[in-house]
Amino acid sequence: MFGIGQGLKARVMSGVSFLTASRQTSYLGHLKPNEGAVVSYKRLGRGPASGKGKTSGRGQKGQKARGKVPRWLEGGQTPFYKRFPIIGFKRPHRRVYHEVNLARIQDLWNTGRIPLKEGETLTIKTMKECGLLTGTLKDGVKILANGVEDYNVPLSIEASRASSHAIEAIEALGHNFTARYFTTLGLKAHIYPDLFLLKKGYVPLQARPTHRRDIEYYSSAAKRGYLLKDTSLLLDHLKGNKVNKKAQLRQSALEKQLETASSKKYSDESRLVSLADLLGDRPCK
Amino acid sequence: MATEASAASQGAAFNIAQPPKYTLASLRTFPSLEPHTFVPLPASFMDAPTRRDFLWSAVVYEADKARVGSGYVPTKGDKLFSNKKLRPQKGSGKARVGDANSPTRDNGIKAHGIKAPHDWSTGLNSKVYHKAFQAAFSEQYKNGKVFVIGGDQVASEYDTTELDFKYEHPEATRQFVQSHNLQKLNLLFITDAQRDNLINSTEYIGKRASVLVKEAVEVRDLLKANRIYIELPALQWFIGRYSLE
Repeated sequence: MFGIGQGLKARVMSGVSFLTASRQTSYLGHLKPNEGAVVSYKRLGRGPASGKGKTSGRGQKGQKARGKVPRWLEGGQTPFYKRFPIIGFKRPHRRVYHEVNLARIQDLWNTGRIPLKEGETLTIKTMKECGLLTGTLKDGVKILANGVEDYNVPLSIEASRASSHAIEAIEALGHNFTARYFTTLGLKAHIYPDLFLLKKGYVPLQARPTHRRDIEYYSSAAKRGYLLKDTSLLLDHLKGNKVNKKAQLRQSALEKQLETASSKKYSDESRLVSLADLLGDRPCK
Repeated sequence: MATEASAASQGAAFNIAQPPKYTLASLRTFPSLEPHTFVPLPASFMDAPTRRDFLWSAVVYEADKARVGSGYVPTKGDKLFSNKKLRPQKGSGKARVGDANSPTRDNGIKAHGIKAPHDWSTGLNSKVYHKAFQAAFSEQYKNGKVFVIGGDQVASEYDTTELDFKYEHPEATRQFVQSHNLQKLNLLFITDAQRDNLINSTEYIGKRASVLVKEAVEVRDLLKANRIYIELPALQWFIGRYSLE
């Protein structure tokens, strides 16, 4: 009933299969790539029959036939790249983030590729391990809200930053987002701690932000900054410094002496002062 | 989960039939190939659309990887001959020559040539390779050429639920081929672990049978075979290993 014979017969009768017109044809001879998917490279100067023989596709005479010409050269006219005035400013230390959309997180969660349980926190390390982040490591991760309509991943998220819509979507499910600052080294240590352990024997501490811009961002409530969530990391110390400075007013040598000096006063009645009076209770050396 | 749910709700809203997620394969005993029960297998693996381009990519990738790269062309640097000047510089009435190690001479030495070892292996995106496995299994399965061996019932004392013969004698293979009318067909046996009786017995029909442990199977092995006999645990291993969408 479930034998092969019937199945095969049905296939042959209906003539469905693309490769097996005759029963014993090998598949291997009938495979080919999609049209245009494979391009063979140009072989230059291999004789007239190749079509790229005599001048090898370089035409007749001139600099381009003989050597090379800078690709920007416009024959002496001011080339495009230097034709216009420089406007604006480019921040050389601008941070470039991996942009991860909520739709992508949802997709991986649905297919079971995020190795976390409900309520756990999705960190950049986990993102890298489960394939949310690919390619060369950038300066951090920004969560964007594309796909926010269908988002229902029961995870908290910790990344470099997130758009306000993304934060709303995460918190609407009762989980939270934390914006955490990473230096280049810190991010590498966060993702690959083993690398440092094996090479150095320790994992470097996470650096705190030093630039005013970063400190403000990561201590902002609207951005869900981690400095605000744990003020002992940096903010306490910033305030504490100011207080201590006020308390430790500088004292001159005279003022220090005055603090320890006796408060006993001497009247001008007698010109003679006894040594015992002068020393007060202190023992005579 | 959510997309499935939303897709299902959409299907309900627009009255769209969802394609089946599983296909039922017969579980057979070996060597009688008697079916005893069914096993559900994911349609994404056993009923995937045939993608000839994926199969081509995978086969080319595997063939490239299999190349040894032992091509070696002797060049001037190999010094096949001595450094002795062939004839005096002047007075012979012939052209000037140096030693015999010159690619201009008709002696087998070339100016440029390939040197062993040479790595011809190419890359392939793992998703494409996974798709190729899915397409290869699906194509063979849809043509009724995949036989899944497993289950817990045995038809007779000669049958097993493993893909193995009771004896390693060539007669076992001869009878198997004869009773199932498999003459002139390429048979592929995919086992979960090494099966010595099967390996020794199938030597009888030489190249027409290949016995492979699951890890050693390539896409082109699946495509070369006219019949594939695979143990259920091995098939499940493939489904787990090559299921990237």
